[in-house]
Amino acid sequence: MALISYPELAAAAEDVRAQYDQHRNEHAHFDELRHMLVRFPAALSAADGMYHRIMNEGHLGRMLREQIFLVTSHERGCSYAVAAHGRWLVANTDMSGTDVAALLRLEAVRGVSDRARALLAYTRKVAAAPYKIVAADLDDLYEVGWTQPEIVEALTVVSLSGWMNSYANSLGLQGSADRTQSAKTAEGS
Amino acid sequence: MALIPYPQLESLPEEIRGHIEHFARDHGRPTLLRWMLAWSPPASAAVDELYHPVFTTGKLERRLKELLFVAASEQRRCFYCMGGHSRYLVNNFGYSPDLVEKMRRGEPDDALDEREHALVLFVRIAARDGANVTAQDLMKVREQGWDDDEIVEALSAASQAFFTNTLAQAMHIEDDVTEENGFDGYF
Repeated sequence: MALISYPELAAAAEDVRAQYDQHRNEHAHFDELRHMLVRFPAALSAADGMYHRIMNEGHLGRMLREQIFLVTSHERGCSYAVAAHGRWLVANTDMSGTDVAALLRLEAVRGVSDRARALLAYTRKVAAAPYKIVAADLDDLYEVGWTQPEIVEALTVVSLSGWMNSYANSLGLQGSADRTQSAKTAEGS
Repeated sequence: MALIPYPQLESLPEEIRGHIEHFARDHGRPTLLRWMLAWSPPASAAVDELYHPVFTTGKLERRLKELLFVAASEQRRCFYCMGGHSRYLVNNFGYSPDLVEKMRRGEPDDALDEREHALVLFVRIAARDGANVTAQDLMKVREQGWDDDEIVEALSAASQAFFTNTLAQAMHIEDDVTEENGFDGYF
């Protein structure tokens, strides 16, 4: 169960509720985290703004961004984000649950090129210990055709997943069942 | 030297170049992280939506949030983020460099009351690995009078550190070394 109780949405300011509802309707990701961030509206707004831009705009495709988010969240042990992005990939691409599990191990998966896997391996290394990245890691990416703007974009996805993993892990978020349980506890049932 | 070369300023879209030049005018120095992020205009815009709203609004005062951020960055050993924001604490809040170093390591000092010190220690735990945060850790900060809204706000410092530390460390961003006014050290 989450370490902090979910705030009462009815008690939130109108503009905060509107912010929560607007993006809740746009995508189903991270509803529990966004609900918790109603406690600090600036972070809710930042999460929505960053997520929208970093996951949707730029050179890399959405599917690859989702895969980066998935793999880096797995590296940081954020089961909450892994579940959310795994669900997204199964629902919105040709990937099956088995494919997602294989991707977490960076194994060959249909529809995921070796070039993409090289980028995923790099982002996983960044998530594990960013200070250990060396020039040779980048050379490996340049060799298979990734460009500097694309690599920087990939890094921003790793950073965004870090932002969300940190919050989700620190708050002990687990998913929708967790929130239901939290509400029941609050109601004394 | 940074692992990825900085983009040519003159080749950047006007809006992005404007952000970098605006920062340089205000602070007397460029921000190397922002300059590097100019490779990705969406990311550059995303950082605008992150930093100022989170640091300048809410219940916790700016001084404390900056301190929480440097404590989180110290925990994660990000010299770029720790150095820039530690200098900000010296120049804007009158702390000595020695005191900032002590506070960000989570050591007690008269300059920091028990309540704030408890929050620094809590954020350092979250910055090391959020999965390590326990109900007992939360109890300790609640016992000091922090409510859950304030705790969620404090955790934004750890999350913010994850975001910028990752970029700065992975790209080996150099120190922002020039400060025209005030203390110019990087520590």
